[in-house]
Amino acid sequence: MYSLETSNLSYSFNEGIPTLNGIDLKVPKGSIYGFLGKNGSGKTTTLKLVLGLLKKQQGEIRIFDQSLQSNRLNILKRLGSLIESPSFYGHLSAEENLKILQKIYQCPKQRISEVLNIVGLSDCEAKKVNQFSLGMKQRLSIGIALLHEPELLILDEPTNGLDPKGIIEIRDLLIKVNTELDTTIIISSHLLSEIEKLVTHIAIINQGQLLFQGEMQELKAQSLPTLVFETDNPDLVSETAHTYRINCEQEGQLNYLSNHSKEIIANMVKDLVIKGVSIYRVDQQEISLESIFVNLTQNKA
Amino acid sequence: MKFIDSLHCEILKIKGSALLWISIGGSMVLAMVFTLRFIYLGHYLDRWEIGASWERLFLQNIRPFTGFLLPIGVILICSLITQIEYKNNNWKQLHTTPQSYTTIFFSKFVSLLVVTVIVFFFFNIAVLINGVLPNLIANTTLPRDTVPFAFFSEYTLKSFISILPIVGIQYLLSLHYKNFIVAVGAGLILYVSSMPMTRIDYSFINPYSYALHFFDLKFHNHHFTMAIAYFMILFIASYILYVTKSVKG
Repeated sequence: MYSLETSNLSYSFNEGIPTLNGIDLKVPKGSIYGFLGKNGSGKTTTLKLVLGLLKKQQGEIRIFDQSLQSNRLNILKRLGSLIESPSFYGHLSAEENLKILQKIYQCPKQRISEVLNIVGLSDCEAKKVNQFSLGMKQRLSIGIALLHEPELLILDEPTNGLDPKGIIEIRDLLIKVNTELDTTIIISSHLLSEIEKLVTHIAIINQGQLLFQGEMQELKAQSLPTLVFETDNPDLVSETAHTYRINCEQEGQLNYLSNHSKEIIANMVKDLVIKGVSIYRVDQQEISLESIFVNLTQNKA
Repeated sequence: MKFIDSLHCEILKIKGSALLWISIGGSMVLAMVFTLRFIYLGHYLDRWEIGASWERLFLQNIRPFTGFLLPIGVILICSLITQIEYKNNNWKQLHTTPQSYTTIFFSKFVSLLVVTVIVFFFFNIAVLINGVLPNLIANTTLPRDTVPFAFFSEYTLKSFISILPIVGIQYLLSLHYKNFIVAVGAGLILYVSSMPMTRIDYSFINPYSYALHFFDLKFHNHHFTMAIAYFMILFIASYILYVTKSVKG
């Protein structure tokens, strides 16, 4: 069961130059779905299409198993969002901002104080939002998105402008919302280490194309680790690696090899031994989301 | 989502904003200037100058108000109403709430009308003050007869209709252009440039000319129909442009 499904979603701002090309997203219900991509890769465009902020040109969007085109209002009732920068009315207080949304979503009035408590703004409910720090504004925007207890939360760069403490608080809050209320969360961010700690599923988009989509473990299992070679002749290791068409970076006595298979490495080690290279260490680096992301996006670039 | 709830939200947004205070201040400024003039210079002014009747006093106020202040005020009000959403990228938030585009468009427009009604209400209050206060403070000869509310209402309505074409075009521009300067600048340029054109036979083509005709007291019955028709065309055009806009935030 998917909370959000897109099929063959394509979009162009300028005719002939596709911004998105055949995106097929499948966001499982109850998941925290990380949506990763470089700046300009098409993340925000995808999310704006999903929210109906951009007019769909090609493809199909289904949310809660309903077509967005024919059930926009019903879907939006069950959905909360924060796209790019925080949205609020600066001349009003946090409480007044939430009151406007409470009227629109027709949710109980007590949700206003509950949400202010959740995002840690209960002490500033009467303060004008214009006087808030960026972190407080970001927290208020998340509060606005959570006000009507949505089943699906779409957050585009929600930790932008937050200090490390704020980032940890938001992460804990999202995990709490996901586990306690079974809210599906789609989160796009360029803070890969943060995403890694938070998500259950991941999608990587580059130049408008989806490179990977699936569970975090699946991505790690598919990805080949970087190997560290410590030898007495790093130049010869680099040269040999290139003959095997392996990506190799040299740093002092160390060589970092990526994009390889087990068989090729075995052959290369044999080759190096035959060439008289003393191998002190061959070690496997822990796979980080960052290295996977860089490998994936570089290979497809 | 009921339209009335949506309208209530729009009113909440205006409450406490600079827009409301600018509108109230702007609506009263002219009558207040007249009031001070009568208080301090009343004894030196001719009887006809200070208005022998409420009708005369009201026309003395409403003509320059409709001809000059109101169009500028309406240009600003239309822009400020939409700037509430543009200012902090709120259009995208608003367009992801469960409200139809029609509800959003109409509730915003009705809130604009509410502000305009507030402007006229405070304008009328200011004219009443203009008629009463100088008498109390400086014993200036001003109307002492019963206030002709029917006359006030008739000319307030005429003034309102004369600015409807400006409301139509400015609402369209303000919804369509994010940049505040575009709508306000275009509005002011078009309005000022229409001033010398009121004597031309086909001046009614210009939506900004109707308020100036009111100032000249040349706002005849056929102008009513034309102003309303002009407004309707512009209003429908802005609705179509808004609903069919491909990027909504």
